[in-house]
Amino acid sequence: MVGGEHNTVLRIAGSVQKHVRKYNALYLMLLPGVVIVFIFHYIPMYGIIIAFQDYQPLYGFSGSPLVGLRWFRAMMTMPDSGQIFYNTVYIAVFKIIFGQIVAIIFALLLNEIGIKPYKRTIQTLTYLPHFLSWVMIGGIFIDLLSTKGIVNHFLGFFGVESIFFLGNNTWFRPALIVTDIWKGFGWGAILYLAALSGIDPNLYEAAVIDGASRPRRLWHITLPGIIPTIVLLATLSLRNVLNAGFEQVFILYNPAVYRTGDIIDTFVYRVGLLDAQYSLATAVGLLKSVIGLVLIVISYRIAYRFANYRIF
Amino acid sequence: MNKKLIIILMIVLLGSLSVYATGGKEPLEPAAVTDEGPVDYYMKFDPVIKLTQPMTADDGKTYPEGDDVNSNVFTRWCEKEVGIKWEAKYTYSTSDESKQKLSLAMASNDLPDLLFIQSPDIAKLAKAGLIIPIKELQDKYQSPIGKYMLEENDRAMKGHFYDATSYNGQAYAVPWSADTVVPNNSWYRKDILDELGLDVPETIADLDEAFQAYKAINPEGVGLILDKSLVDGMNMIMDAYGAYPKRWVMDSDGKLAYGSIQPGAKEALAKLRDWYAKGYLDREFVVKDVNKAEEVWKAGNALVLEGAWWKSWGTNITLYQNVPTMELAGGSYLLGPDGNQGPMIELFNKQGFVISSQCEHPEAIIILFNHYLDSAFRGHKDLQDKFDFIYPYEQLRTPINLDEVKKLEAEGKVAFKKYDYEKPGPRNGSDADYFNTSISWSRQFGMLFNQRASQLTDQFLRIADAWEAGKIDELSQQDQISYTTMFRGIDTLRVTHFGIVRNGVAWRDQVHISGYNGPPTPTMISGDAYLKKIELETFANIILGESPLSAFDKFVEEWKRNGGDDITAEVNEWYSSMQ
Repeated sequence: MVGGEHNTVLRIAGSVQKHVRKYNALYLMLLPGVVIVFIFHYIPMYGIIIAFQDYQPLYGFSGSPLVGLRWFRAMMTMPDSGQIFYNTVYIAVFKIIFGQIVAIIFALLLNEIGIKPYKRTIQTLTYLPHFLSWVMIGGIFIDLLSTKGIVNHFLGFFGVESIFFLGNNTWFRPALIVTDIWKGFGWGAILYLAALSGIDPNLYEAAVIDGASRPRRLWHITLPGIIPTIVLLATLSLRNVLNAGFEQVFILYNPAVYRTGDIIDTFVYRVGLLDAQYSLATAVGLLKSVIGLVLIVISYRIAYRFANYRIF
Repeated sequence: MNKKLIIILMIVLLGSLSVYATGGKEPLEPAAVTDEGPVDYYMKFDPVIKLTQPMTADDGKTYPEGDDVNSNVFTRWCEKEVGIKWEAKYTYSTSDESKQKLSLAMASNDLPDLLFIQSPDIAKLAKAGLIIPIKELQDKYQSPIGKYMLEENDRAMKGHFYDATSYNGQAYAVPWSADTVVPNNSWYRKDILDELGLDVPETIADLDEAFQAYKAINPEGVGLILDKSLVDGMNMIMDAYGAYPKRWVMDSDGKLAYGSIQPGAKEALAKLRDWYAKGYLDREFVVKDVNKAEEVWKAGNALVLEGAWWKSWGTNITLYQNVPTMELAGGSYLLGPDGNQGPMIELFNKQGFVISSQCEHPEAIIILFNHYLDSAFRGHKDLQDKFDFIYPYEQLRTPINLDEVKKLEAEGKVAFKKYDYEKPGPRNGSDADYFNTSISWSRQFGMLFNQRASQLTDQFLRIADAWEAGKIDELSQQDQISYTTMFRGIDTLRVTHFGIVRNGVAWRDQVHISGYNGPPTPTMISGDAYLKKIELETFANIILGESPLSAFDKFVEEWKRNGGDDITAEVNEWYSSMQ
C-alpha cells in the first residue's frame, strides 16, 4: 500500500518535472512576474492586520493594540455608509454596462469599415484618451461642462437652459458615467475588435452566397462569434462593482454633490489619508477586496455554467 | 513531506508571533537633571558627550571636499565649542523611511536623544513616558535671551503658545514660532473702487454696495472669490458675523463651542446665498479648487480676494502681469451687523523638538538651543542693550551687490553669498537665503523656526517706515535686499503689503486664538470625516440655493447627534486640564 502510494507520488512528481523541463523557457519567462507579484502583492498582505488594530504609525504593526472588528462595526454604523455604498454600486454598474455596450457597438461598426488605414486611424484616435490621466481630462471637462461651456452652449440652440452638470445632484452621476465612457470605449473596443477579426471569413462568404443581408450576418455570425469575449469581459468586470473610479470622482466632485457623488474610495481617501485613520481605511479596503473576491468566484461559476466557459 | 511542512509552518508562525513580544514596555525613569550650582548658559561639555538623533543620509546639498551632511563645519563646531558629538541613532533617506525607523525605535523603547515631531505624536510619547517635560530644564538652563524670546512668543499667542505641545498641562516641546500671529488678509482692486467712487469697504453693508456697483459696470465680473474648500472668501464674511467656522470660540458660559454651528453662521450663509443669487459670487465656485477659482481674480475680473499674505508672491504677481494698470488696497477686518469684528487664527505651530527620557544629558540640548538663539538674534539691535551676547553684533563684511541680486531674482534664482562671521554660530541672521553660512542649515535639529514672535512682521515694519520716510538707504543690508526683491519689486504690491502689515499689527492685541489646540480627540478621529462632510455639503448647498436656509438647523442637529456633542465635551475636558 505504502509502496503503491509512493509510486503514484513519484510518477506525478516525475511527470510534473518532465512538463516543467519541456516548457522551461516559458516558465523562466514567467518567473520574474511571479516574483514581483509575490513581493508586492502577497508579502504586503501582512499589512491587513492594520484593519484589526488601532494602528498608530508611531507604534507600528507590533506596537498597536488589536481591536478585533471595531472598524467594521464603525463602518456599518456611520450615517452615510449606506449612501456611499449605493453611490459606488450605482456608478460602477452603469459604467460597466453602458461602457461595454458602447464598446461593442463601436467595435461592430468599426469592423464593417473596409478601408484599413481609415479604420486604424479611428481606432488609434479613440483609444488615446484611455492613456490620459483624469487629472488632465478632469480639468478639461470642468470647463466643457460648465454653465458657460460648449455643452451648454450647444443645448442653448435647442432652447434648453444651462445645466450645472457637475454641481447638480441629478446630473453629476450621469456626467461621470458619460465622460468615463468617452474616455474608455476606444480601449474597451480593442479586445472586441480582436475577437471580431478572429471570426472565420469563410462563414461570411458562405452567408453572402446564401443571400444573407448585413443585419442577418451580424446576428447569426458576428454576434455569436464574440459572445465568449463578451462573457469573459463581463465576468472580469464584475470585480469592479465597488471600484467606481477614484481618480475621476476625486477630480470632479465637490461639496455640492457629496450626496450622490461620494464613493467608497473618496471616503476612504478623506478618512484614511487626510484624517490619518489608517485602520478604518484599511478595513474598508479589505471589505472591498473580500466582496470583489466573492464576486469573481460567483461570476466564474456563472460563466462556466451558462457559456461553458473556463477562464483558467 | 507532511511532517516537514508542519515544522516549517510552526517556525514561521512562531517567528511572526515573536514580533509582538516587544510591545507594551514599562516607561523608564527619566534621567536625573544634574544640580551643580550657577549655570553657564553656553557651557562646553568636557569630556565630549555623545548625543544621538536621526540623521539624514543625504540632504541634497553640495558640500566642500571631504565634508558631507554628517561631518562638516557645523558638526565640528558643535564638538569644539559645545562639546557635543552627534551620532546617528538611525539614518534615513526618505520621510517614509524616517517614520518607519522612528516607529521601530518606539517599539524597542530606544528613542534618539533629540527628536523633532508633530503635536499628536508628542502627546503619545509623553503619555508613554518616553519624553520628558521641559519646563524644569528650561528654568534652570535656558539663557536669558532664550527665556525672553519664549515669553515674547507666549504673550503674542495669549498664553496658548505651548498648547499643542503639551500633555496633561506640562509642556514637552518648544513649538515653532515663525511669525505666527499673521491672520488672513483681503485685497481689494483699488483701481476699480476708484472708478466706482467708493472707499475700501469696512462693513458688510459697504461690500453689498460695492458689489452692486461693480456688477453694474462689469456684469461678467465676480465680487468675492470663493472656492470649493469654502475657506478663503468665506472666513472673512463668517468672522464678521461672529461665527468662526472650523475653529473653537468661547461661548457665554465660558465653554468652548464649535464655530460652524453658531447662529452667526446662519446669518452669514443667508448673506452669501443672497450674493450668489445676485451673481456676486462665481456661479461655478463649487467645482473649482483654489487655483482655478483664483483665475478670475488673476484675469482682473474680481473685486476682492481673501488669503494668506504670501499670495502676493504668486497670485497677485500674475494679476499684475495680466492687468498692469491694477492697483490694490489691503482691507481690514469687516464690521458685521452685530458689531462683530476681528480675526481668529488657528495655532499652526504644532511641532517642536523633544528630549528622550533616556537622554543622559538633557541639559546639553538646552545649552545648544541657547547657542542657537544667541547667534540667531545677534543682528537684532533691540536686544543688544538688554542682554549679554556671546555672539557679538556684526554688520556684514562682504559687500553685497544689489544689482546682481536683482538680476538673479529676475531669473528666479536665489542669490547666495559666502560670508564668514568672526564668530560663527549655528544660526546667522534670519535670512539664510541671502547670507549662506558655512554651516548647512539642514543641521538645525528642528530649531530652524524658533524665531521671535514677529520677526518677519518687524522686518516689514522697518521697511515700511523707511519707505514712507524716504530712507530706504539707511536700512540694514539685509532689509534692503528684502525690500528690493519683495514681490518682484512691484510697487503696488509692496505698498499694499505695508498697509496690511500695519493693520495686522494694529489688531494684534485683539486677535482671537482658536480655543482648541490639542491633538485630535478620540471622537474627532472616528467621527470627524462625516461631520466635516456634512458641514461642507450643507454650506455649499445653502449658498448655491439648492437647499433652504432651514437646512442649517438640520445640520446643527445632525452635527450634535453624530459626535459633535462628544467632541465638544472632549475639547472642554482638554481645556480645563490646561488651566
